[in-house]
Amino acid sequence: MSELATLPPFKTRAGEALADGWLKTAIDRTTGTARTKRAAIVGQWPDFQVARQRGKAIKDHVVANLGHYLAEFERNAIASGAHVHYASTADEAADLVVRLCKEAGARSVTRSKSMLGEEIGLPHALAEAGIERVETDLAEHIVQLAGERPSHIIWPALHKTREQISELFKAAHDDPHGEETPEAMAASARRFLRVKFLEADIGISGANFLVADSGSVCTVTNEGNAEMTTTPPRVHIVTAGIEKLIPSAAHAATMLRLLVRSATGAALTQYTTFHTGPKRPGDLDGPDAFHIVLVDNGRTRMLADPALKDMLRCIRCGACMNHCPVFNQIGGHAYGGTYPGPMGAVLTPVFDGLEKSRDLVGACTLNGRCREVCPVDIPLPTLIKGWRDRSWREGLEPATMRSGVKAWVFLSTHPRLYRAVGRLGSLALRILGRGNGRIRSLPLAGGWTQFRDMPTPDGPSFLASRAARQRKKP
Amino acid sequence: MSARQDIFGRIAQAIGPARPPAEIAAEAAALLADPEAVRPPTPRGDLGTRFMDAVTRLPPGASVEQIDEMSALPAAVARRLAAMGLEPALKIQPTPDFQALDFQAVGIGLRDAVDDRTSLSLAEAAIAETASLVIRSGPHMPILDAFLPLHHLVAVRRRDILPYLDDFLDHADLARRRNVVIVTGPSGTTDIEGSLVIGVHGPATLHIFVVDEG
Repeated sequence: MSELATLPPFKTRAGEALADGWLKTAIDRTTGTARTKRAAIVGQWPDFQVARQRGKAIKDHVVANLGHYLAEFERNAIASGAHVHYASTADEAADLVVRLCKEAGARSVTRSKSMLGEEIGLPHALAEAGIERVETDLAEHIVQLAGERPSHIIWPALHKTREQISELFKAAHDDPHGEETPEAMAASARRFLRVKFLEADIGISGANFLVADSGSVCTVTNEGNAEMTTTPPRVHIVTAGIEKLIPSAAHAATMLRLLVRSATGAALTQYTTFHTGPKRPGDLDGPDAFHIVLVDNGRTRMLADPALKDMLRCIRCGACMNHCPVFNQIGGHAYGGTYPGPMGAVLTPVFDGLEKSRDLVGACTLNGRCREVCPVDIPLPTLIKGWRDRSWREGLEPATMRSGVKAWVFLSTHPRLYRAVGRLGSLALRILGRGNGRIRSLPLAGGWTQFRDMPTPDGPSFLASRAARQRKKP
Repeated sequence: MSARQDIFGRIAQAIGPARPPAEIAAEAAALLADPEAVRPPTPRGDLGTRFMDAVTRLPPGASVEQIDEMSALPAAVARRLAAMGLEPALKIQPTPDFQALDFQAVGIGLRDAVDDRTSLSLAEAAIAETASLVIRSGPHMPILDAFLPLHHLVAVRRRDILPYLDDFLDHADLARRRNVVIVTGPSGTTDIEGSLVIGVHGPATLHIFVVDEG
């Protein structure tokens, strides 16, 4: 469960985000580049849609045979010398990882970015256990120093300015940068984290894919921090959702091509690594022990639910949020859950309950861009609508919304009354906007008119003009 | 009940018992059919040229040159280090392929330290589609030698260049070793205001020697 329950209401969070002038620039800069680069590389591949449908079919095949592939992965991972563990819930998973750390006598743990780690609350659990946690992805390092949460699944620190990052680094690094450039700041982080990499007792990573026929864990990074997290320490722990499975390395080719293009617009990440078991006899480096913690946390519930099953295809590329008009206005923090944007609107109700997250499901225009760019064709708007239906059926919508919709249903099923009310409303709006043709405030719509004026209705209503046109026809 | 039993139980409840493995395997194999249809288009030409062209499309910090044979590697390495203004010293991968080469004869000092320095590795394969190099851990390859240095030099034989990513992954034999790393350019990040910075944790430069021997 995320921190959602402890945060102010969504409307407050969104309002704060909208009032943050820098945030909008930061989001535009990062997601704008991501959109341009993705469009360019996808544009160079005329048959991208064919590959996309193949990727979808591969994930659907895995989801339809999840038990088979999970058992196969477990068998092969154990054969490679890995220890395989299971956790039904987020808390169970976090407890398990903390227990493994304690059993290994760990004082310091390095972590390479994993959204599942965030999902199970691992940062918090390690802190409670008194174990030093060092985030090694540069953005996660920034977010950790700031004491914040990631605001994007690919660029967790996109909300920070370089000035803010500079201050954080100067306060935390022993030998900080002199020049105020991204290059000098990254070099400062390199010096600071290099020591941490080499001194850590345990390295914790996530998984982009779990390869069933070899028991391998695949990670992709551009920084190289995954390998530097998983190689020097005595113990490597992987935390992964059970939906990350793919049948074989051969199937990874299509999935990697789709994932990286959709995430960053590159053909492949700088480092694509398959981790299979611990250090082998004769190996010159690598951990002595390799643990894989496989996490359910709502995934089997999604598997049993036809309205959510499609979401198990998600490969966490972030394209949906880069292309979401709502995310691009409010950014990731306002969503409150582990995953922001459209995929977060679908997943957060699974993890935190619909009652606490029904606002997220409402914060969607259903424009459908997220589905268009989804590399595995997840019908995100349909899944979001599914949650809205459920929120209505379960009586979670507030009384004003319920009575409003009921009034609307009554009106729209009584055409004469509908037209009469329409005429009356139109007349009222015209009177309100008399003079300059703009309405500055409206009863029941204060939230809308606070930031903009409403124009007065122009001419007769749609129904009236349609009726007039039909009368003119011979 | 253990979490393991619970999870397998819930999966079976959701989608029914597992189908016969042969049926699943046939379906999985069908998802690999017609690989040409799901590959991005790549330029024509011989593999060596395609690979070297692809290197030019990588982020800054990646470069490539061609040498005639493995025995020419020490001299090429010495030239490269001088061109980059680096001291003539590096850690050489303890692979039998490099054992016959005389680096000291061209004035290169051999080091054990790699941290923020220079290393030389041999890739077992390269991929023309993505300008990638394949490095596998083992008694002859410490994985950190590809990550700790500031400058990474990698040799690959022209005959080991494969056209596509799937040409490697189809026969990757992952279970054989702990790590298989597909390296595609130097370490980089766009985490500070979206600007690209090279050399954040790993190497800032990646120089590739394509060795043209049979």
